[in-house]
Amino acid sequence: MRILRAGDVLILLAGTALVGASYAAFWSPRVEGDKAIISVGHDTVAHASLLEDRKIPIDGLLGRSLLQIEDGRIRFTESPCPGRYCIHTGWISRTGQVAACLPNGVVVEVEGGAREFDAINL
Amino acid sequence: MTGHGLVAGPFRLRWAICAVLLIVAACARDPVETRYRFTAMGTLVEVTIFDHPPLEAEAAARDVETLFLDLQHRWDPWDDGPLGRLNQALAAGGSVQVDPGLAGIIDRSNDIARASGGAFDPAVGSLVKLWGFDDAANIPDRPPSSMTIRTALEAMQPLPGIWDPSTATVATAPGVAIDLGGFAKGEAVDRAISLLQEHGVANAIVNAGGDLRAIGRRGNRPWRIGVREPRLEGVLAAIEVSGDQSVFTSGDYERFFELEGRRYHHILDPRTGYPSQGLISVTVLADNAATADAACTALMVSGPERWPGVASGLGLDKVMVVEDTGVIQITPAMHGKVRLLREDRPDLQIREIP
Repeated sequence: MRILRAGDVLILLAGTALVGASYAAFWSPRVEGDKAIISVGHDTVAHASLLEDRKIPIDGLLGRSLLQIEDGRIRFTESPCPGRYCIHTGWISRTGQVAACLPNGVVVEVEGGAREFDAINL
Repeated sequence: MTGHGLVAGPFRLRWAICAVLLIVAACARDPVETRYRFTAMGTLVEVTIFDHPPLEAEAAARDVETLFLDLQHRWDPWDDGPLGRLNQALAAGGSVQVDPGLAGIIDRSNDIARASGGAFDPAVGSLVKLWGFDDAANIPDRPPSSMTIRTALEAMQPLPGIWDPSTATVATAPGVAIDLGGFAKGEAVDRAISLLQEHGVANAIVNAGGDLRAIGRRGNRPWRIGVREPRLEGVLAAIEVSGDQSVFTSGDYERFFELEGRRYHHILDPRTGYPSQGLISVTVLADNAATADAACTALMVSGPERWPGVASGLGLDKVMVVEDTGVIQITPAMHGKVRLLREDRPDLQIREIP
């Protein structure tokens, strides 16, 4: 008896295609995230949807940082830190991207999509 | 059912088994990834550990945090730790014998300073302070006067000229302060990886403000590292690493201020006293993080023409630099590792290491 008949091969091919298609549909690269996790120190203080344009004040260690969400992106627009590196960082939108105001202890990370990179050289 | 299982079984059973296998395959998820983040050495440090029991992974990452905070204190050039005290003693005059813990890192940074031909020099501390780039929380808004820069340069002596490794002594050099800033982060990353390995961690990234060393893999694929665009938003290139490799990038966009249309950044040329010119970004792939860290500084300082010679002295073969004109120069070995992601075709030059 033949181990595989033509019908079995067809079933296996169709199955493989189905796995590929479901993987692409469910797990693969939508690199733009749809939410931001905002933390101060080790505490998560807010989950913010990137689908709704708005401004979010966050009280940190030095004072108030202001975050802006627009067109699926988020950035620091105001911060009490002297260096303003957080504002220099600009918009972030890709899953895994981080913007931080270290003096104020405020960290923003984009989540919700596929992580394109495990780390980004800055 | 005969003894032929799936092949000879009823058609419906075969479909059912196939369907179950497909669902399992489609839904299979990776083993757990643990991410732990903290602030140290003026930057955000992230430890990523893959396929390791989460509680043990978090404990290991917390130990890395303790390590970084300890090293931050020890290697701060202006605090009251061992390096701060060394600089105070140098400023007071007389030679200084260095304790063994600090002597090791000074010795290694001295070797790299020598190999770089002076493009990297930890004895640049007074100059860094004069410019105001010593304070991670603040950014200066104007350059020092040319006269004060000239005075600082005249007082400076390269580390290889004042460091005696046989006695672990720094010779009398009152105008010199040692700043391990271009090396300490890499050395800390190396020590963090060793610590994780002592915890039995085989797959991890220690990422200190974007500069990292990665060990192992992320499951069935290598670790994926992005290199940021020096001027535009987004990612310039993707690099896949596995086994044990460090990827460091330095650029003129990290800490800078602009005055009258000119950018002044934090990577200072120890020979001119001013920020380096010609290159806006340097990416180095190396076996260890400390070398990669110092190499980024040395190559930025060396500039668009001379960097391959300095890379050769440092034993590097995987380097990519971006000129201020936008031209990307890349070594053949690095070219094989990097996938450039710019939509428009970049102006690319292959540079051989002599």
